[in-house]
Amino acid sequence: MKRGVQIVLWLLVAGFLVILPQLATTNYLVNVMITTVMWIIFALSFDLSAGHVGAVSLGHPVFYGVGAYVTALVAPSLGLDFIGSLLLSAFAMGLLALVSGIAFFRISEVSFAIGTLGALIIAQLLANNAYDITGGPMCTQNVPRPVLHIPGSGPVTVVEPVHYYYLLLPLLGLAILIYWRLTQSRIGRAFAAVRQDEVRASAMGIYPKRYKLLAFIAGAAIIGALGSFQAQYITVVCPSELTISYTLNLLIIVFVGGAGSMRGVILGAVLFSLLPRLLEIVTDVPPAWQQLIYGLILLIVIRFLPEGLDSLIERALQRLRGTRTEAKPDAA
Amino acid sequence: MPIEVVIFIEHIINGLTLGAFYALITLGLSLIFGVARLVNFAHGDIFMVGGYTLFLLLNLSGITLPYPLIVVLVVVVTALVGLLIERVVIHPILNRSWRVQAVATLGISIVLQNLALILFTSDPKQTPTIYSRQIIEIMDIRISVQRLIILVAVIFIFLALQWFVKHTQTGKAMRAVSQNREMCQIVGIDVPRIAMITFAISSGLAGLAAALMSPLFSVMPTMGSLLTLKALAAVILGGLGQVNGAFFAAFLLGLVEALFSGYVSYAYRDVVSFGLFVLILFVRPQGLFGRRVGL
Repeated sequence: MKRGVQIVLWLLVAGFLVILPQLATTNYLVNVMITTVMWIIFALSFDLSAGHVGAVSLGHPVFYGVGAYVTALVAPSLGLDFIGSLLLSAFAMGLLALVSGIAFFRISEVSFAIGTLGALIIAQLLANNAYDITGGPMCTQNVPRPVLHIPGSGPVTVVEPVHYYYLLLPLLGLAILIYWRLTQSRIGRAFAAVRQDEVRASAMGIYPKRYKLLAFIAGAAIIGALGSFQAQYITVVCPSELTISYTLNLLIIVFVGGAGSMRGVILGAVLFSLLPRLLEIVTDVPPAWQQLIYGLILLIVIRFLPEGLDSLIERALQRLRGTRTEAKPDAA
Repeated sequence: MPIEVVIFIEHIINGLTLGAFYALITLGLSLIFGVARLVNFAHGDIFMVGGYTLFLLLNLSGITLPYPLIVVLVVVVTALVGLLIERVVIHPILNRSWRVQAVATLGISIVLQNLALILFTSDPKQTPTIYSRQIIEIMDIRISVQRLIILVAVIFIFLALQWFVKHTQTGKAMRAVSQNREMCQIVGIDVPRIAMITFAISSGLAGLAAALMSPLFSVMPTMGSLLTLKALAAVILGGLGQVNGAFFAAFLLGLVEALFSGYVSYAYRDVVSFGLFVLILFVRPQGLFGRRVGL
């Protein structure tokens, strides 16, 4: 695609996202939009390491939940505002990713996946049992809502979902930008080299651990900021923000959409968030049935579409252009 | 005997039974990893299927089957379920990366758990047997007969498995495949068939664990989730693919968990087992008994 066309396309998408809430008639619809955008950010940050450097961190929600707790427990005592809290959580989670990454990337890929999952379980158990600090199952309550200082008028506390949506959009833009800059550049090619063959990558002067850490830290910082947003949006942080079902949902989104592809991941996240809402209109589907269907979809896609739904789009686009390119050498 | 000593010995016995239970789950996981390089996140859910099979067999209307027969039936059913899963899901993706396979097993786990939730609801089901209520007392120490059965069964299974992989054609082929898959294909070993048999054995072992252990707990759709993770931790601690190492690591986890929950804190017992797991990983990335492997 020509660069000009690409920029116009992106501007159109951005414009559409900005106008979208004006079309929504109820807060319910705006909430659905917020959830969708949050899943996109969540999945992009997960895919940075899972889809690009091949380090499947099954404990990825740790950075989300702990990021939320950092905003709920630490930020108010520092007197930080909305953006300050976001930055604090992002920074703290980046730091946590650096420290834990140095330790976790010493171990093999399989151990990494299971070890990080172990870390998630530990985090949730701690959040559940440390009543004095986190409130345990009673949750940390009364997280301050964002206060905006608009010149000309006094401070305004954000309450309306629509306003939260507009606070969230820049975060989505930032996440996409970081994802884009990291994967569509020399760094991105190094990521692919590390994913395909670590030994060969290091023989070519690419130090695998450095790139794994970079992807891991970037993903953690993004999702830490999202956790902070969630804390200030819901104003309550519970141990359930550290649940393993987030991991399962991330895997469904990323592997159904197409690991390692921004278009695929975004498509996966949008489908994942909107399908149940659309189903709701037609019929009442209990959660167990919903999950069952997701599980089956995941299995079917893995079996028949190794590169996810994205490969369907890719094929359709190629047919439009009348070209065919070789399939990617590896499916993450 | 002084009460402190009695309590201590009871904790040790609890730890050993818990360890034996983990070992039984871990054996299957470790086998399937060794032979097929497959991280099976659905292993605990096959255990759960075994639990519900036990529940159904114990509550058959009209007939009361003897417990040993029920155990055998549960093992057969879970082995068949394992076989089915292998044929339908794992077999077609046997040559894809371990990541894809692991995600597929997570998919199976989601399907099985929610199927159980739909069929049986989330209410815990009790599966008492005549042995789970029987208590024997030796020098003030009280042990449920069910726990003794588990300990004996696990040691027997371990020895039987050792014999199986050393002295039978299939067992030897399993060892060969775990050592070098390409080479096996060259000399004419049917690797997919060996993987299939291993999956069935592994699932059968999970079923056995369910038939023996769930009378002490209760049966629920999520009973396998945390168990899979603990068993995976034991597999890694034992050194990936090292079946014997995993077996001992499972006993170690069981003992640590029982002693910690007995003496320090029940609420934090899982924090300790997983914390120990992560810590040991950092100190010895290849596991307690492992050599370095490529994966």
